[in-house]
Amino acid sequence: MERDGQRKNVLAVDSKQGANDRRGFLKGAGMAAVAALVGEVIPFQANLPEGFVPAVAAADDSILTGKDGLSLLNDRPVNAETPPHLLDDDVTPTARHFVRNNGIPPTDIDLAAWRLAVDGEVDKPLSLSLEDLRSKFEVVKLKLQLECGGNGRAFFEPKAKGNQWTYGAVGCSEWTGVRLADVLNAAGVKSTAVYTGHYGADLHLSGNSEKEAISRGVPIAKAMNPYNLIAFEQNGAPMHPENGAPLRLVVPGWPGSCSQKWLNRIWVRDQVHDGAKMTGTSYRVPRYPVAPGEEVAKEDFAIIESMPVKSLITSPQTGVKVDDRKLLVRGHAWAGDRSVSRVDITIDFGRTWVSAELNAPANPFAWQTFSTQVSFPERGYYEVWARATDDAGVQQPFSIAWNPKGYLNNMMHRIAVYVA
Amino acid sequence: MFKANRLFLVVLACVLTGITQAINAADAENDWGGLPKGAGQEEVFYQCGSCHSLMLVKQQGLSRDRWEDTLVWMIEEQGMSRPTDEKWALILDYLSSHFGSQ
Repeated sequence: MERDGQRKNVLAVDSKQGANDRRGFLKGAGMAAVAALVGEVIPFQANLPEGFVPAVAAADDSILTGKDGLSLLNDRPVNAETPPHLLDDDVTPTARHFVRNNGIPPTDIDLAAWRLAVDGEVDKPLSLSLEDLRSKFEVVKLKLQLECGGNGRAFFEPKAKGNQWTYGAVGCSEWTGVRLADVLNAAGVKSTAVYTGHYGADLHLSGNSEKEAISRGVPIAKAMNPYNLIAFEQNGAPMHPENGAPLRLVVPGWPGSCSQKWLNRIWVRDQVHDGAKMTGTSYRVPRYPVAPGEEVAKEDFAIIESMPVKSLITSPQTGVKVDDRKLLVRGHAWAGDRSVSRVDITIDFGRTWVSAELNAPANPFAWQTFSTQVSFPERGYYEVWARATDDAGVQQPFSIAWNPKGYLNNMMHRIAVYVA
Repeated sequence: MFKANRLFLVVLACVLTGITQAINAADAENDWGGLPKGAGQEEVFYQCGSCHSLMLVKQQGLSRDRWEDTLVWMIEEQGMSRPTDEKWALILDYLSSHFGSQ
């Protein structure tokens, strides 16, 4: 059932790419595909030229085709997040994985011609096709959580510029791919290597091909972690185009921007990578705590590495009205490079806490599911708050550690519950 | 006869669809991407909207200084063309009054 849905989704998104093509033609799709897009027989189908995109599939609202229930924050570039209650699955369905784009995604992708270059501080530069990746390296499947560095920015005061993400720029899909470390080892990383620099096939928003939309990287030590993937499938099916098909990095635990989409080059650097959005104040926070609104000198900013411990209540949906005095509360917790050791729940604004049942991660860097049943003493308005603690004993805070660019908001998630 | 009728209906549908689309396009242009009315609306529409969606602009709540930093960053890092001084002031006034900090 899910497979069928995904196949349909991928097909429909192809139509969007076709629609971006000024000629309005669907490359390589047969007439059966055209009829499937319309969802009805086409009496005059014989009159249609090869690759024709039907108007019903070319509408602008197809921007999130293949996604289910996401809130669109921005349509150029596409940025969309998932409401918490739609993130209840242990493994995030492709249709509910957030989208954070910086530029214009590639269209008209030729899978046979796709190459991943690995060069720079390596003994043997590589140029790998998708087939090379599948055949020359061990293919692994891992459930890996990705979160945008700016998730939760909407709650900053004073406001920070950028997409005003609330809760849902996070997900944990199952990714199929090869280990980044295996590919780097095949190229032979030299002792002079310091950092990776990632490049993708998306274009800068201005359309200027000289400019990069985004090109970030990680220190070699992080790059060599065996849980980073060069992925080509999401949830056992083709990746959603907006999530980086046909090839992306998944570098879990660090800001999502380290996980380059539409990946076509990994440049091993002898210095900290200085690509687009690596420098200045992008994906950086002050080295010390600052007051909300405080001016911070550029040299006092440090690159964000591991994301902080965090949790999200995914069931019930906030604002729920219940008749029963007992309620099952469920959600997920994650902690960047660390794991989560406990999740506590309060229904009385933090006076008393109960420890929730917490599952082990499916594999390192997968988010962990928690659940507990809470009991309300009488009718009225309640809030359920969740607080995760990581394996180093660090807890989620009550409020935001404000920083100028609006990153790393891991304050406790709370939902409203009305008990009749 | 049946065939002729059907052809007529299809042609009619195409004409009507064409008219509807033309009206929608006109609406989109007059809507200025949903930017509120005011001096600077048109300048912001073209200056900001030529590269990215105005949905991004409308999400913000920044002080005049932060907006100025943002415009400088757009020029220095993102390849935005530098507006004339007159336009610069108009854009900055518009952004900080309609999408300012409280």
